[in-house]
Amino acid sequence: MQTILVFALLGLGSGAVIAAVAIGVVLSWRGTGSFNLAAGASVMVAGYMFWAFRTGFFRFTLDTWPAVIATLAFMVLYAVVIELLAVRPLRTASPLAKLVASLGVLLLSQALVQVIFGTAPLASPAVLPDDVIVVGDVPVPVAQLILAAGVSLLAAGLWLIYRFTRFGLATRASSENEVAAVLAGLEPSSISVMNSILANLGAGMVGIAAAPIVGISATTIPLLIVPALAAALFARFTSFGIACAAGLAIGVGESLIFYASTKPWFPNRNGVALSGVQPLVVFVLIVVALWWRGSSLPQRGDLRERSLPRVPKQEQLARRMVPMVAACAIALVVLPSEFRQAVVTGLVGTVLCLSFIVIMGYVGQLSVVQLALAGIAGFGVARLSSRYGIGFPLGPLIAVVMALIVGVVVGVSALRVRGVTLVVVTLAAAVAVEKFVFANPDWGGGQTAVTVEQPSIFGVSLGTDAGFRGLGGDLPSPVFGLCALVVTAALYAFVANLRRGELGRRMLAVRSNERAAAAAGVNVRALKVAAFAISSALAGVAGVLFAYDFGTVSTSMFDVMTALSVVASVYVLGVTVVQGAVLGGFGMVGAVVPLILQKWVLPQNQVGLYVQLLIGAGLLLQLRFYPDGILIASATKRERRRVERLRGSATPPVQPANQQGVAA
Amino acid sequence: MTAPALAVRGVSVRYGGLRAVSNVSLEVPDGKIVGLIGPNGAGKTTLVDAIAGFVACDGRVEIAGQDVTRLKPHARVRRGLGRTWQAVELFDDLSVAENVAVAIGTPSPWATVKELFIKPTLDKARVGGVLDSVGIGHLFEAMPTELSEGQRKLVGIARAFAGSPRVVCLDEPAAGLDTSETRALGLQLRGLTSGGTSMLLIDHDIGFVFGTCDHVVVVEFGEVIAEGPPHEIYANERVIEAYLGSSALRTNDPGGPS
Repeated sequence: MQTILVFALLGLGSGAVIAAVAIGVVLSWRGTGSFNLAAGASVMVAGYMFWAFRTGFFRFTLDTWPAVIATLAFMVLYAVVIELLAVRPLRTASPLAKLVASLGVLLLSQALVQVIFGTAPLASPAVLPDDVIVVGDVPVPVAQLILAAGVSLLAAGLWLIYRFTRFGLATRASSENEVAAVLAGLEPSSISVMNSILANLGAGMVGIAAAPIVGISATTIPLLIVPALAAALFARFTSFGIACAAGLAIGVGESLIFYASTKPWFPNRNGVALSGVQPLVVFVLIVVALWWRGSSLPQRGDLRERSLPRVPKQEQLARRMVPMVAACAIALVVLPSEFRQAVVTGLVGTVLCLSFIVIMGYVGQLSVVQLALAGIAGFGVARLSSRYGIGFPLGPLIAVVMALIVGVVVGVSALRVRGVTLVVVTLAAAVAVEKFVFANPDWGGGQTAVTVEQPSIFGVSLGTDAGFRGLGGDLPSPVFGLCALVVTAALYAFVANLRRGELGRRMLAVRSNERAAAAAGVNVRALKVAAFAISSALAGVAGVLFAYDFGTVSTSMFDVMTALSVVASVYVLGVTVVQGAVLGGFGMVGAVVPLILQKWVLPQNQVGLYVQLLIGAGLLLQLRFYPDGILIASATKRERRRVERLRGSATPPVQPANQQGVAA
Repeated sequence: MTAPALAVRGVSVRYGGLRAVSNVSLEVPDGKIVGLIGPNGAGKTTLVDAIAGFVACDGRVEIAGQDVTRLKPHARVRRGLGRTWQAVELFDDLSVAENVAVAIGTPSPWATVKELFIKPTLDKARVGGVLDSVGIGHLFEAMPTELSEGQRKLVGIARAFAGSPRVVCLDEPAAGLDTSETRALGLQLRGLTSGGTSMLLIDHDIGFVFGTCDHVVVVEFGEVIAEGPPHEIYANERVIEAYLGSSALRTNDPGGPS
């Protein structure tokens, strides 16, 4: 019993961080109506800055208190910069655009921190006393208690501010109804910047104090956003108290699960407890929170724009595809080895991005679980052949079906939610799959990579090791590349075709207006499930191809940050057109664009980080200057010109009167 | 006697403690236009939401004799119901033609799979026919965002009629139209009944309703207070008192059904 209490108290440390991030999420929602995925990144930034001030990273060393003040001052600056860069330009944009902007901030902050401070986790000097108090007869570090108390105080303080000050009233008014608040003479942009400074100061204090306890790592801290989102959901994105309590409770719960995993009754394999139960529980919590606390977030009466970019028509598909396919085919044969590999990876990446086009572009469901689904298929194809001897072509087929089933399960558990809330569910699902499935040495890869048997049919190898005349066994063989090209081209045509047909029309109808779609006879639920199935299957195909392409599968290929980068890059380019998938695919790490950058432009060893940096920065620039995505901006212009030409020659003009018809 | 295209039997809708619609019964016979009028907040739109399945209700809703009370909105549409909205609610991402095409029938799963692999085509003749029936054939290629409010209304009406429904509920189709547009709309709606489609028409423009409908139902505070042919309603004391007011009668001289 006492041990349980100790573990519960130990969980308060990470619980405090989760609570602080959850409070940051609530503040962002109330202050600016943005769904802040970068709330966890603030804690990370504060932790690193404090470490840097204390350890002389900037060639000077500060004592504890000056370092705390310097860090908090930096957090204010950080808040203002983000406000100017990613929040203010999008003040009237849709919740989706704001969410994507926060994704850009997350990617940018994480990449910058890693470029500046390196990728290894750091040990921060302690701030809180390392005393121990004895509970019962078990020692508990007092720092954990101070942290939890501090976060609770923060929540209470914020509650007081919101409840009793004019500023709090103004924030509440503008989050209820921004238009009315403007009309009442309130200034939403200064309210917004104050809230974001508050959020970052809170995150900063917790980041400084918690860094020695939870460790400073740019890969783990930003992802605390997932349990924090669960806590924020329970708080309906409004209550600081509930967000704080739920965050602390999740930390305690995770710690208790860790304790339970030391027990013999805990599910285990050969005496080693199953890992990744915590994120699975968080995922379940989020689904429960969504059912229990209502299907969607409280609505804000914002000035709204259309939430997703328009979807240009797909004309002259064959004529556009033939040169691309031919160029890829030639490249696959004549280019040097590493470029051949990069082209194949680009093709596979294209298939992965196509799955985003279907689910995000066509149906408007922002899902980030696709890469995890690809991972399920990738590990599936590896395990099916190594363990059960099921090889090509049955193995990949089963693997794709596995991805499809998991994707549909995630989709169904999120059927009642749409738009930005879906991100929470799919993000949690992606983390759960990564930690629970991929990290499991039986189902996934554990800490090591799993070798994949190359495909062959009737004794003819189709794999990367297949013989090819004239290359003298130089890997990778173009045979696999050409197979991947055929698959990619077919799926590209399929997704483009989807836009032109009945099913695609219905998807867009649902995207535009679910109510009106139902009134036009569209079964909205069935259609969403179908869309999840299609996009999951596409992701599954991509996963199988990745497995064959690299010859091994490992957890790091399918991690959440990679998934977020891919989502962001597709969004930058154009999430509603198939061409965006091609560019997104060829821009993935390992594909052609990063390879070129790596060879001639960027430092060799950190190309992934720099690509993430570019994507993050690109996202913020794109949202500002081409809110629809780069390809869609140009396609829209082209389409408008075509329509104008048509109208000028044949049909009477649409606009009110018929006067211009004569002139034309 | 055949079943009416639409029958509403004792329908009530409650929002919390508020009774928005209280025990309303009405019938829309085949090929007829029934008008539904009443002051603001009388529960007209709520009744249409209940008929279309967007709010839960007590009582029964029947389409061509079939009980559809427990069906989801899209399933009611497949049984022959169409509706429009006051705020039109077009699919802004789709062209006018595609807006209409979405509502034309439901493709079989096989047809859906097939068209994913061969180049799909829009049934131009059929979509064009639907658009022509409300006089907007020339807007085929246009995007909804480029249209005037009146044109958007017509696209919404075309979409509601696209699936050849038995009955269409029109929620304020004439709001925002000018006098000549309203008159043209009335004629078009009369023309659409010749195809056998019935309508339940809600509007504030009394002249339009009386001039277009075969039968008028008046609701106030969620309850039916009168119904009958337009000329009877026109003369009904209680209606005049509750809703029309004497001035309304003087300014909006109603004609008979044209």
